[in-house]
This record gives sequence, C-alpha cells and structure tokens, in this order.
Amino acid sequence: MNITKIISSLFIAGLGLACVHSYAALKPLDDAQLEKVSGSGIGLVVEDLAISSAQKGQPDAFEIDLLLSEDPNAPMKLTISGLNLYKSGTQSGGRIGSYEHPLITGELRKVSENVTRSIDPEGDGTFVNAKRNHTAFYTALPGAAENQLEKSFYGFTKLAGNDLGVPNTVAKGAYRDGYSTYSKGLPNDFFSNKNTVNVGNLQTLKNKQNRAISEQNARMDTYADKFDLSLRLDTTYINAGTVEDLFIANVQLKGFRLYKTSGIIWSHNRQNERAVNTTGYNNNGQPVTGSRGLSFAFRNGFMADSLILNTDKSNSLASQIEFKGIDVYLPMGSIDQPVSITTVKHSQIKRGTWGDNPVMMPAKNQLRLEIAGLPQALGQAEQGHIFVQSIEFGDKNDPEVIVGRKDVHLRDASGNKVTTISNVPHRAFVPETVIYNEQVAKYNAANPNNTIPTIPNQNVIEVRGLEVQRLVVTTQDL
Amino acid sequence: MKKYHLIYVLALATTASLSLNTQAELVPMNEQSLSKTTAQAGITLSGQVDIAEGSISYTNEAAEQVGAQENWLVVNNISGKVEFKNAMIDLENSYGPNNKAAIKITLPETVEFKELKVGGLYLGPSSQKSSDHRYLLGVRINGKLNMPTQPKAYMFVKP
Repeated sequence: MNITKIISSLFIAGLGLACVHSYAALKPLDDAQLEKVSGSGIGLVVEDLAISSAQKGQPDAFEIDLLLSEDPNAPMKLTISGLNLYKSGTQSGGRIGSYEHPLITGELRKVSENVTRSIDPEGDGTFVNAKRNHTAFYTALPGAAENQLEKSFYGFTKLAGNDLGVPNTVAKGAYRDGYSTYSKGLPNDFFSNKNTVNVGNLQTLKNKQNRAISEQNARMDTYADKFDLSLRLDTTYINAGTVEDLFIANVQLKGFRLYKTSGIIWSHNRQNERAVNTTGYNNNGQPVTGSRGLSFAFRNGFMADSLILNTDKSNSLASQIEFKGIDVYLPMGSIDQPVSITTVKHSQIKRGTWGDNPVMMPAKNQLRLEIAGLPQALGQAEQGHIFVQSIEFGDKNDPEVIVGRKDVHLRDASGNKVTTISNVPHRAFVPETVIYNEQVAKYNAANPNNTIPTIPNQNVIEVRGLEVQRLVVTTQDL
Repeated sequence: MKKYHLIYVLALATTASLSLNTQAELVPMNEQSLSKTTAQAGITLSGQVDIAEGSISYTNEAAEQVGAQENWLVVNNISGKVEFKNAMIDLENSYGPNNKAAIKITLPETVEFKELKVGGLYLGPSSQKSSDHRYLLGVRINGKLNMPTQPKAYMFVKP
C-alpha cells in the first residue's frame, strides 16, 4: 500500500491546479525534473452514481439560474431544474471508470509542438532549430484512446477492403426517376420491386461494420456504464413590463457516454521564436505565432442512443422531437492550436450600420475565446464528425409526420424478394432503411423459423471533416 | 519572459479558504445506531460550507494583446451556502485486481445549495469591479440534489 504516493500525487495535482491560479514564470520542466513527476497521475473511479432532484415548482426543487440581466427589477434568466442521472434504463446508480481504465487527472506530461522553429527556449540568446516543448497538466476520461468509428455504411464501403462489389452510389437523376433508385450506400435498386437484386457483399460488410461497432461498445462497457440524464428548462423574461415565466422544454438524454475525451492545460510561451522563413510566415519580420499564456486543448467524443426534447410539461408525444443514434466527435484545439481565453479591448460596428458605411463604436472590454490558427507547416488539423441516424417528430402515427406511403419489398440475404408489405407509412426525417428494418422486425417476429436480415441503417445528419483552421469568438453588446 | 498572471482579489482570499465554516452538530448515538457503525473505519462528514462575499479576477497578460490598457474578467460577489450530509472518507487497502491502496470517498446522501451565487461576471479595466465594468452573466443555484445510492469514488495512483 502506498498512501504516500497517493498523497504526493494529490500534491502534484494540486500543484497543477495551483499553476492555473497563481503567478508563474512557466517554463517547461527539463527531462530530469519531468522524470520525477510524469506518470504520477491520479486514477479515479466512481461507482453507483445516481442523482435525483425535484423540478421547478416542486418542494426542494434544484434550480440553476443563469442570470442574463443585472437589474433585479427586470429579471431575465434561464433556469435549469430537475436534474436526474441514472444508469441507463434503470433507477439505480452507474459506474464511471474501472481500476484498469480510470478517469485520470493530475498527470504532468511533456508535450511537443509538431512544427520545428528557430527558438531560444532558455532566453540566453542561444537559438536552436527545434520543436517547442511544454509541460502540460493532463486529464482524461475512461475510453480516451477510443477512436470515432465510421457510422455511415456508404462511408464504410469507401474504406479500403470494403468494396461492396456492386454499384451503390446515387443513381444519376435519382429524384427525377423516382426515389426507389435513391439508396446511397445500398446496392442500386434494392428498394425496387424487382424479384432479385444483386446485393454483392451487403450482408458481409454490414456484419463487418456491426462487429466493429459491437466490439467498441463492449470495450466501452468495461470503461463505464451508459447513463440517462434528464432536466427541465424554463425562462423568465419581461413582456410589456410584466415578468413572465415560460416553460421551454423537458430534455432527456438516453444511453449516453463519452469517449476519446481528454484535455491538457499548459502555459503557451513563444520561447523567443524568430522568423526563419520570411515567406508567408511573419508579420513585419516577426513570427505570427505569439505567446498565448494559459492555454487549453480538449477533445470530446459523445454517443447517445437518443436525445429527446419535449415542449409539453407532461411530455405529450405530440410535442416531442427525438434525435436517435447520435455520435459526435469534436476536437477543440491541440498542442499546435492552443485554445485561450482573454479579455480584450474590442471595437464593434454600430448596429444597423453594416454595409458600405459602417460606424465603429468606441472600444470596450470584451471576452474572447480563441483557437489559434493552424500552423501552415501542418496543413491539416484533426477532424471531427457528427452522425445522427434518424429524427422522430411527435407520434409516429400522426398523419402530419407521414410524408407518404409506399410498398416495402423485403428481401433475403441473396437479394431475392420474400414478400411485399403494401402502403407502409414513411415518416419525415426517418431514413428508408429504418422503415425497412422496422418491417423486417415485424416479419421476423411473425416468422421466427424463416427470418430475413436487416440492412445497414443510413443517417439523416452527417457532418464530416469538422476542422478548425482558426476560431475567434468575441462577446459583443446587443 | 512574460509572466502569465492570474490574480485572486481578495476579499476572497480570506474568504474561500477562511470562511469555509464546516459545522457539524454532534448528537450521542443510540445503541442501534452505534452497533451499525462500531468497528468501521473512516471519517463521516456532514457540514455546511458558508461562502462570504468574495470575488475572483482574471487576466491573461502573457497573451499578446493590442492596447496598453489592462483587461480583466471579474467574477464578482460569490456567496451562499452548500450543505452536505453523510459523506465519508476511508482508506481501502485492497482495491482493484492487484489489491492496491485507495482513498474511498462515499459521496453525501444530499447536497443542498442555499442561494449559492455568482452575482456577475464583469469585464473591465481593473481587477476590482467598478462602474466601468460591464455585466456579462450571473449564476445562482438553489435546492437539493439527492444521491440515494451514496456513490463511491475511489482515488488511487494510476496503474
């Protein structure tokens, strides 16, 4: 047992945090110093985590008010209440982390930028061509090493070794020729009424993709449980001089967990860099990459079975929108693109004078969040992707969300038509693959000895290649 | 080398640390209660953190900015109370597959917030809020969070 090591780790963690809160001529630790502290992180596991609280208007209600107005006589606020967190699908507690895969904090790491520069790290006039090193405070959630998987079957078939063997692109003039040929990712004509369709490697590749997803889920099960989170949003505002409360929505996040989530904090210093390549790399002879001071970089992967927003207090189905099959990965900054928060003197354009003759207002203090520009030598930042498999509006039997009715031709693994289900309602923002698989489920339930395979689901939202070249967010007066 | 600078301004200093008045009402246990706890190790904590008014100010001098005037973010008027019941800190001698040492923290059954608030985030030219500072946002927390399962957090040296 090594309690002293725990305490020393706590001390280092505290020291790391203290670095954030105190003066510091922050220089990177040298190798000998770093050797003494690196790897001294703290592992943290939380078991049986469940939180419950009452909503706004109930006894002991838990409320977080974001106060948007300073004037107590004219309150404007957004209220978050009724925070509840449970292990997904239960009313009991869940686990975050394990001994082998804990939440990590308090770890000091030597991190190196990826661009070689002419720098004087010691400040003694000795310039070297080297990469800037920094000492960073590292924190990571369980599963930080997991990568985002390709959640689009069409995208999956474009990866090396995943050739479907038959055309599976959007047919030219698909809309004009009828949407039965529009099946991006599936063998062409799959939804047609042809008796047989050449499906190529459809089922093999579907199983391959599903296996990769299942294996990742199995690994993530060892890191943490899935959780369900719910809360309520209200607002208070002034309407014609009267203070009014307005219910906004009940929010439910089902079956969510984080992956590939970690962050580093460090003090970004220019280390007396001088311009060595004056072409496109300097501003009046000086490097364009200045010191950033307190800097962050974090990455976050997030998966959820569904996100439900309901604008009716009693959660009537008609007032509900549900996003299903969510997978979001967003890198925010990196060692080469520090995220910094600063307060700046900023002059903004007077409202209503945009265009040819803008009027500049006197400069005022504003808050700025910035992700530094991507160094030219790197060319590309890490990319993130967003996938949402389907969106359900209200009651799926509501005539207002049914966009049409169409026959669904169910097929076996070889592409032979097994049966036709007539006039199946198709719903807005629900991919045809989802409708097809719903019919497969019904068919299999009725024919347990003669089941047919599902097909890979498509997504209704795919945002690919999110990459920050530079981002500056500055507050402004309204 | 420029220093990077993050300053706490003071009413707080004294505050955050000094005015954390943890109070615990000590009442003799009856036999039945005592039988449940006798021979158990660890420290049971119930208490109330009372934060007097204070503020935190932040500026990032190391970041290269245009203009000579200082720019500050002031987190002003931090105050309120947080009350928690039945937390416990213990030492675990055999945690994990290799029976390592760990600090076991049993989280409280309830955490109650009583007007815990940040009166405002302000932006301005100095580290203390003045009439030249401009309001961005305030936060207020009230009410009770229940943790009926009494979650346990294990803290250990990373394997």
